[in-house]
Amino acid sequence: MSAVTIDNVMKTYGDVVAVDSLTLEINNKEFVVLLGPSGCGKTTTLNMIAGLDVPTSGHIRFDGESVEHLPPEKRDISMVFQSIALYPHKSVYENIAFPLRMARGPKREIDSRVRSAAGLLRIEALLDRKPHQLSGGQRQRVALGRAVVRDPSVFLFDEPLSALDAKLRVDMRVEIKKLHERLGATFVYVTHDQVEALTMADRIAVIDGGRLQQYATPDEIYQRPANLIVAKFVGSPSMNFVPGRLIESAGKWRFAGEGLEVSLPEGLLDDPHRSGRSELILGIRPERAALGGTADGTGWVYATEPVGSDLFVDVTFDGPDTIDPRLFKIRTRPDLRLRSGEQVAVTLPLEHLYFFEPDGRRLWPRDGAA
Amino acid sequence: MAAAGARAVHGRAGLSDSQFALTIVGAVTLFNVVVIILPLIYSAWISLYETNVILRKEHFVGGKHFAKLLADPAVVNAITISLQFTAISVVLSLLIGLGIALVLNEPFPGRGVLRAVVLLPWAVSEVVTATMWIFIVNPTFGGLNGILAPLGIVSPSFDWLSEHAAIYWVAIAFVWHIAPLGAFFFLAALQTVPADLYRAARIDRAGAVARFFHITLPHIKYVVLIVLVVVTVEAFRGFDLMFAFTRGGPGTSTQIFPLLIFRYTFEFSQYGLATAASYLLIGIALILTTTYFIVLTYRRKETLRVKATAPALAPAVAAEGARV
Amino acid sequence: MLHPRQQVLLWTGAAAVALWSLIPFAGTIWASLMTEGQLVQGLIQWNDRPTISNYLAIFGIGQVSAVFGGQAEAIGRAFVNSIIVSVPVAAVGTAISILGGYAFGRYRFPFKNTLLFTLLTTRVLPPIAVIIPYFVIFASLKMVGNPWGLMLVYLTSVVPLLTWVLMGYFGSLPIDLERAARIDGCSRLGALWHVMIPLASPGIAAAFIIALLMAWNELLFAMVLVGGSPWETLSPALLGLSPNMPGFRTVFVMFAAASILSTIPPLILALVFQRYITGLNLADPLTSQRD
Repeated sequence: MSAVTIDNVMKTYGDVVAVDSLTLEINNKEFVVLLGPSGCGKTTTLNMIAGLDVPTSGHIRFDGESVEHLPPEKRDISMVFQSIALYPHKSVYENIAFPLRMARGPKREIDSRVRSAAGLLRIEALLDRKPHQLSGGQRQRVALGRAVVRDPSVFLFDEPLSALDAKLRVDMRVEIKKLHERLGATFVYVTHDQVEALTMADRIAVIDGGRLQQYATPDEIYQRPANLIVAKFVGSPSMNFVPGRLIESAGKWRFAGEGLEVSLPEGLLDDPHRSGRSELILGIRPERAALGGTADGTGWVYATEPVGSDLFVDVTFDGPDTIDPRLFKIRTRPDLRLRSGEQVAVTLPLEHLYFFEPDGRRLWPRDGAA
Repeated sequence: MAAAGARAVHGRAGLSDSQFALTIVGAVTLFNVVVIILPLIYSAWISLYETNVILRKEHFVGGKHFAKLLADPAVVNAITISLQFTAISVVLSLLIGLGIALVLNEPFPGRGVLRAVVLLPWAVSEVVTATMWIFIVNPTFGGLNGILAPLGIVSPSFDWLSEHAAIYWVAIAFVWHIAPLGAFFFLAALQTVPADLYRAARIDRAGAVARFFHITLPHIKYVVLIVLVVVTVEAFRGFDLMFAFTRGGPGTSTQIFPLLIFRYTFEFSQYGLATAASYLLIGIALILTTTYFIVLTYRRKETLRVKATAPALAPAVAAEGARV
Repeated sequence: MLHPRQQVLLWTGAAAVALWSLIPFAGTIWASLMTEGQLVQGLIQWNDRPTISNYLAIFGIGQVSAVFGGQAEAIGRAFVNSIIVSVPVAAVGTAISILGGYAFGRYRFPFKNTLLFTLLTTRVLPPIAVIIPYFVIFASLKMVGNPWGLMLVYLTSVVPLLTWVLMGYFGSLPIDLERAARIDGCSRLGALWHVMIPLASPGIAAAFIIALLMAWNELLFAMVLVGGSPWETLSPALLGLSPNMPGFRTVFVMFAAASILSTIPPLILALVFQRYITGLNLADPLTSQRD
């Protein structure tokens, strides 16, 4: 069991910076998800933890000891790959036994460990099969078995569920989470799927453009995104953003965006220096905005998307007949009947508003404020 | 890019990835270079000397051999024949190779068997290729006269390997041997053409001929060039088939340049002259192939927009060697 | 879904391809089953008593004319010599190329392109261009008249091609499998041995066959380096029977039989491994390579 420290790590390929001064502390037995869009550097980071890539500069430490130049076979890790990567020429049994054989364990012990790993993942019946005879979910279990059998101190997962269909993905999510509880090892899990991140992680590291954007618990990431990038990336459907400016008249502050005006209570954002000229971005999650009510703005229904439990309404403030309008998504009751082009009032509850600086930093809620 | 991993520091970690690869590849390349480049340097030295085999003496003559070669009508003749042989072989290989590939690209019962059959001429040596075609064109008992003479098309004992025709027959034999390689290149390319394109073209009412010119050909353009280069290089540098089939005859009508060099070497023991001629041959081969390669890389970049991860010359140089 | 007219066209094409490929074989095989007396009457005739005596003669069985006896024996010996030369060349050449192809196909390293280019350029050289220096150098090293010089030459000519072919093959294998092997405790060579080589076995088999055929079929170097010696291989030995060889009266039926016999091993290999060989992307492994 190890704590993993990524200390100011850079990875460049020629002129391309894949990972930029990344620092990350992963505690012993913690489940950390590296979350970000494809090409953000999260997989490169994982590869460096694994030893499949060598950092251009910086350190990777396992329990305080630098390992960045150790080849993967000399680190105490296992890894589950996006492509699952079972050895096609070996049986399930041999796939699982392979790490132990490489470690030259005694035959009897190999056998008992392979069988107990297979038991843990409920694949005892498949041990004699070849990978091509398995379903996608079974292959994933075998891959997990191969990772588990060595009892390593760090488990690495490189988007292991993205090759599976939606239903299986949900099952395996639970499975991996249970596995973490049972094994009590350190898990580092790379994904671009924010649902996976939110459901499984102890802590999420949101990475974009090779840089760490925020490193916090799922709740914190969702409730208090550090910046626009995190706010955009986490949450489905994504948060609504409305660019606008702060205006002061007669001591009253309001935010004026396209088709929307929100009066702000005293003390929220009143800063005389910002009056009139200061650009801001308002953000609100679709489930927090409401139709009807006090009407902070009036828009037109552009389209509706019923998803059974909810109804998502795309509202535009650009006028009823605009082609390619900017859309504002609102989650509402599934029994609401709305026609396209219908005029609707939109209300934005103050307590659920976010404000971001144009450069992306979160302005409101303020850091530290509850 | 290549150097990114190389900066790694290694103590207990052993070789980095790039050091590991460089060690292996360096050794392999060095081995080859030593066995090939050293003799070439040695032959450059020989080409500047007059060698007397019997007296075991040699004296420096500088560029004399080269001057002599360029003035020798036999050399000009041999080069012309080489180019002629190459040109005929290239045209026939493209046509026959593509023809075979188009047939093999269609599904029909027995296609698997035919695929295997097509490969057979490629597996046969050039010496045996020559044998087989000798049994076809021999004037006394050859198969061609055996069929055509009774029909009155040719006179009995018609000489197919006359001074004018021999080069064509050798080229045909050569194409028989090498076209399968081209055919499989073409076949691989044909199979990458998305079937939906053909379906779309049929919906758009394109006939078979239109489909070939508007869909098939644009897709395999690059492979046409590869086959072109492969056959050119092979035909130009080849020796075995011509030597086994005609030995350059009748007269000197099929005496390609490598055959002339062979005669300089082993019939006249003119080592200096022969090595000088070798350099001329290498020169022409390089000019020919480089020209194609330039076209090839240009095409490659244009049609595939693939970032070249290996030198431009590489694909065709290697493919050329794939002929056995 | 071909129209009848297209069906006819396709079958005509298929028949033409088959005939084009097979008729030269058929003619020579037909000749090899005749007596010389029959053959001079023409190849195109009905032979109701095909004989395998020409083949038997090569193995020293049955009646052999005195003139031809020596030649027949030479073919038998050349057959064995060709095996002795080509099998080790193919084995060692494939082994070297596995390492080379793996390194080129799997790793980034400095001078990669330069080295690849150097290796491949050696393949454009016309063989005749190096024959004199090889002959002189090998003669002084006592490597003429025995298989060593020949094997060395063949080795250097197969390695660049096979390296190239296997580079493409290794490059096309899923990289995650190798990574998984590293994670599971293999060194680089361990991953090559336990995972990559088993996965590349079709490509490796094809590479081995290609090398074998190359060494089996080559004429020029064989003629110069072992021709006329006890180590003479098949190509020069066959040439000794051919009508182009001055000073001999060619026995054509023997010539046919010997040619057919010599070509049986390559044909069998080509047939058995046809899928592997044509499955290789010989022309351009780069397009199938991940970046």
